[in-house]
Amino acid sequence: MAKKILIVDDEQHVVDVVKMRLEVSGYEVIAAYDGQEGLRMARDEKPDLIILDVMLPKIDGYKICRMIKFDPKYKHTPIIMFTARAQESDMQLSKEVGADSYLTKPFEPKILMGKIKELLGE
Amino acid sequence: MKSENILNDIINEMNRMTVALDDTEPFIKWAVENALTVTCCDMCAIVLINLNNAAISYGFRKSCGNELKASFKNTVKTKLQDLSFFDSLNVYDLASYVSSDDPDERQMKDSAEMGQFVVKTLKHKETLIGYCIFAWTNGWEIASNKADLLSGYCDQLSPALNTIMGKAIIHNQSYLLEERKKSAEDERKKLSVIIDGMKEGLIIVDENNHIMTMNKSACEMLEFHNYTDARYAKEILADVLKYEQCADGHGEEDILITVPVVKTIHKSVSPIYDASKRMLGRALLLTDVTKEREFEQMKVDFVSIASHEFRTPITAIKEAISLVNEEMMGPLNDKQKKCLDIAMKDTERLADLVKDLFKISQIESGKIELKRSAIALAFVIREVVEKLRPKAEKKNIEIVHKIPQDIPGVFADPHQISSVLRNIMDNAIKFTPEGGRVTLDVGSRTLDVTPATSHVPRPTSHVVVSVTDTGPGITAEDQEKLFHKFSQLDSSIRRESTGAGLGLAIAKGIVEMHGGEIWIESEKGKGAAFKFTLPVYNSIEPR
Repeated sequence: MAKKILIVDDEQHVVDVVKMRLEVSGYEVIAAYDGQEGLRMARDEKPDLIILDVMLPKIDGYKICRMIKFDPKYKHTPIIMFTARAQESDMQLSKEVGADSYLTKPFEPKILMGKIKELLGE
Repeated sequence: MKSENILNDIINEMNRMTVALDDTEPFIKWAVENALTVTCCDMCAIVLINLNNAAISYGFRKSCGNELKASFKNTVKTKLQDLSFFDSLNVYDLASYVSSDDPDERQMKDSAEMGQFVVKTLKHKETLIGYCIFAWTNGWEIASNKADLLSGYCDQLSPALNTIMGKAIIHNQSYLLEERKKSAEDERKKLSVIIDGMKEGLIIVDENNHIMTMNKSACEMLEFHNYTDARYAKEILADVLKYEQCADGHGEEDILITVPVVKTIHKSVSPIYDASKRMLGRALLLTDVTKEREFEQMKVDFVSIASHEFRTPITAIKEAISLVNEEMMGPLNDKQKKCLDIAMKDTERLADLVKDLFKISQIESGKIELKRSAIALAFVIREVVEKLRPKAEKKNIEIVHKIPQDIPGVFADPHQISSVLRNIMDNAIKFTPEGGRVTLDVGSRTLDVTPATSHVPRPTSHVVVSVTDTGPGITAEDQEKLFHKFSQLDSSIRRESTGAGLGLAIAKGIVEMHGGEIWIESEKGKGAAFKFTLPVYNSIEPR
């Protein structure tokens, strides 16, 4: 059965293109466009991996990451933080909230795919 | 009238005059005219001697002819040269007076010639003051009853002249002093008008940091004029007057004032020295830079926000192109692929530009934090060289690197230094023609550096990294421009290069943040060497 990946990003076009690549690569992809929806789907849909944008409406990405990673029920779900900010402090914050990996926009497709495969143990 | 009485009258008059006058001229005029009256001589002269100068004032009877006057003057001068102690006396005529009438109604004939000649020395306490010279025309001579009068007159003249001359000197000097004081006062007033009219604030402190002068603008800038709380003034002044001295005593700093309004004052400190190079104090020039700093912040914020906003659409464009170009959406023909290659390349270029813009704004606003540690430069260099080797090989360029075994570790952020080196190497490869060579050298040198926290320079070792290419070289004029933002040289180079001209500005920013320097050594047509220094680990550690 195909692994399920959740993308949380308020940018429709970014979601669309990432979704396309992941689907072509054989994953099932679900998407949320704000923090609240993202958190709900992370809990209800039980994805195998989450790609999480930082700047999101309603609840920001770091908060969602922390809520998932500090919840024993969901903490095993790997999370890749996805941000347009390229400051050192962002990378540091991602680690602090328990994210498994970190990727800046614009990203290299090869690197994204590599990280997903690694985190899913493929 | 008896001669004693005449003399007494004259002495009284002389005393009155010495009290009343403080100038020699009216006194001498009086003395000359009286000499004629008292002695009934035809011509007389009073000579004042000062070193080898002799100033002569003449007196003549009203009926004295010009020929006779000239003859007397010559005789006086010849006589003076005979009397002088000096090889040559510097003689000059001070004045010539003619009595208002002939004292004894005796009219002189035109044919009159010089006759008797009497010279009396004027002395005051053994000091020669001058001479009094009396002359009669031929056929006349001093009357026997007038000889004593003449001597008595001269005896009285000496102390009176001495007093008057002394007074004149004092008067002259006090006049000069007054003049000098007045001109100093004028100068001071002029300076104070200039200082108070200055737009910039000026504070002058002495060597103990005590305020000597503070102009109007400084008071206004520091809000002293409408905020008179002493504690406030003390706090602000402490902030303004404190300074971290550099080696040459100069310093610059921004001061933030928050009450009653928020503003930024830029302070520039210059030492003041006297002629013997002793420091007298310092001049603090204050400029209100609130608007400038706000504008700079706005610029940084704008670049930061803009570069962030650009990233998201670039991400989507790049990924969309990749998906199609990788034929994930179906096979492509050659022309379609070529189009997408171009789109991809320029999207990447756009992404790099946004990244560079963001980085330069971070450097300029001091927001980049260096993660410094002792790093082995050889490792960083090898990594960069390996990364760039494929690019060099495409142009058949040989990369030569000579890294000595014993180069010391440097105190640096490996990630940032790697990006500096990559940028320089990348440029070198870009501008070197096919078949050329790029050489990487590492050396070291010792510098005298004055740390900000100390007044004493101490030697700091630096490692020098140089990248030499066999490219077209850079003129001295262009070398200056190269490290500025958005600087690219002539259009022939532009065609080949695709950078935005930010790379070297970023490299300069990073190297300088490390306490190093970056520069170019090049001549047009002879290749270029880009060099930068980094402080050696040991020299940074406290001893």
